[in-house]
Amino acid sequence: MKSSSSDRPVIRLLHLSKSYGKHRGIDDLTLDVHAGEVLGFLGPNGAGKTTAIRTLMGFLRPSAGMADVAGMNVTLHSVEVRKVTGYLPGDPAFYSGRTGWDLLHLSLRARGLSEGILTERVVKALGAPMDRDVKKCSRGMRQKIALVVALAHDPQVLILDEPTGGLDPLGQRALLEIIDERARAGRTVLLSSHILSEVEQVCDRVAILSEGRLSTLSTVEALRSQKYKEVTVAFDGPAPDLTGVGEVEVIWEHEGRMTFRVRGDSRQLLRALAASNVTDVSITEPSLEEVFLDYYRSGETS
Amino acid sequence: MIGLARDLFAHSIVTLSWWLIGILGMGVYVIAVYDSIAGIQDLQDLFDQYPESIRDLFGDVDLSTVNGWIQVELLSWIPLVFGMYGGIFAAGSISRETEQRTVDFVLGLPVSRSQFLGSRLAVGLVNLGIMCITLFLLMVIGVALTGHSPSAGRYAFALLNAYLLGAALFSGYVLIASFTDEQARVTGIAIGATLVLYIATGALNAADAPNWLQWLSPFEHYHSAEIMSGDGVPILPQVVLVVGGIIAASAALYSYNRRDIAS
Repeated sequence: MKSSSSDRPVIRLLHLSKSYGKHRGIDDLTLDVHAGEVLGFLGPNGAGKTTAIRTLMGFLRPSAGMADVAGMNVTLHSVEVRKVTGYLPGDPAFYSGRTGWDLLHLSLRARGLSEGILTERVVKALGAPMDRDVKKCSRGMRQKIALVVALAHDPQVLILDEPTGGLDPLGQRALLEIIDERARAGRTVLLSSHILSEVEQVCDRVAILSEGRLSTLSTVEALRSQKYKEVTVAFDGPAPDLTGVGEVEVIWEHEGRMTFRVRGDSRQLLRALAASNVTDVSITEPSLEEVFLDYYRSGETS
Repeated sequence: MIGLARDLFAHSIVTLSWWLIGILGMGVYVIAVYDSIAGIQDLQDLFDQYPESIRDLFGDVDLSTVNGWIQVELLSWIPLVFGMYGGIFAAGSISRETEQRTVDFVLGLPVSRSQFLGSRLAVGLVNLGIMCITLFLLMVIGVALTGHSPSAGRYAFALLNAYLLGAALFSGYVLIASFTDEQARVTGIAIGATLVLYIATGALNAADAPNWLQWLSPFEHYHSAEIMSGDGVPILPQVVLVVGGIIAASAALYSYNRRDIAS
């Protein structure tokens, strides 16, 4: 479900910092998101994901640096930025006594629109309870209504703070399909998430934040390849000689089978395995979750 | 901004109606009982024996006249109601939005903070206006129905003065709400401040406090007693209230535009 992206940056953060007194929300964050690209913000609680998103949406004023959306400075042209953006806040809250339709129409009127071109598609796909008073809606129902409000006008930019939060599995799948579809249509998506499988499924690149700083910005594939591979081999005779393969950590070895983690050049590993009496081999890449945890742990250690 | 204001107004009508019922109930009661107490000299004697500061608050009027009676029993305290309504409305429509995070929805749309706060100011001012117009109609119709001659002009100017005072207080509470995210805190501050300012106005008067100090209280610029007694409409206090309201509203817009809205 990956989309192709162009080189045109639609979202641009340049040395963006935001501090609250002594606490630093984000620190010197620099990254671009291009048209047609889906970028996932990853990071533990308090890493600065929501702070970065709220700064982009004009809720927070940067302490230093700058940010652009669609070529417009988010501080100076906040309203214009929001005209071209669909925004989903984390855990959305609405006025009670209004239905989903009321809120959608309020949103469309604020954009000078009478109807949203994607309304029917999104309402149907997500099964959003648009006729129900939001006061009587569960967390997941509110999330669906909020997504309809964010997506209905087919915005050029989508900024989604934990978009699948509270959604049932069907809703999650439908949303990821919509995100992928919009990215293919050239829209730019920035989303934050704790659910790594969905980031893996829909994002072209991920930005891992740690304590407000950008720890890594990379494609999912590159991120994995920079990390270890887990290799299980079956062999006759002595265990394969892995000298010179790179950083090797043997996890388990027993009666002609061995599992180890290896970082480094895959060609050297293959050469080493070919030179030994290996009868079977399986190489698995780590899941994004394992990569993320590895980054997080190394960040904690450092 | 019009869409936001219309939406807010539509959803403030139920609450406004309860305030109107309360005000109208008091108004009907005050007008209805006038005939039964109009001839009681003891009442005027009692009033005359009140400390000057209290009489200043109520207005030094002739209680035996219908206008004097309405002034003491209704118009003297109606700005208190307007002030409390303004504080509660500011807390509910501004601080509550941040506290309950509904502001994320509104300000996630292409709506500027000035438009957001402006819509709150506009609806609050309209609702205060509706209260004044309703009271005006009640006073004119009620006094006529009890067989007396209504002084529509005096009622209008007295209520205009009350409106300007209520609007100035409301603008002040919007300023507080613009940087305070807790609805309960703003409500408490507004109600407390309204009562303290009202009482302090009389106390400062009684204590012969310097003029500049007395002028700091918005209630000092409320002259319904003079207006109801037919002594004319003092213009300067109305100007002070308008200017004060504009300054407070401008400060609220400035503050709200510069603040962070955290999650």
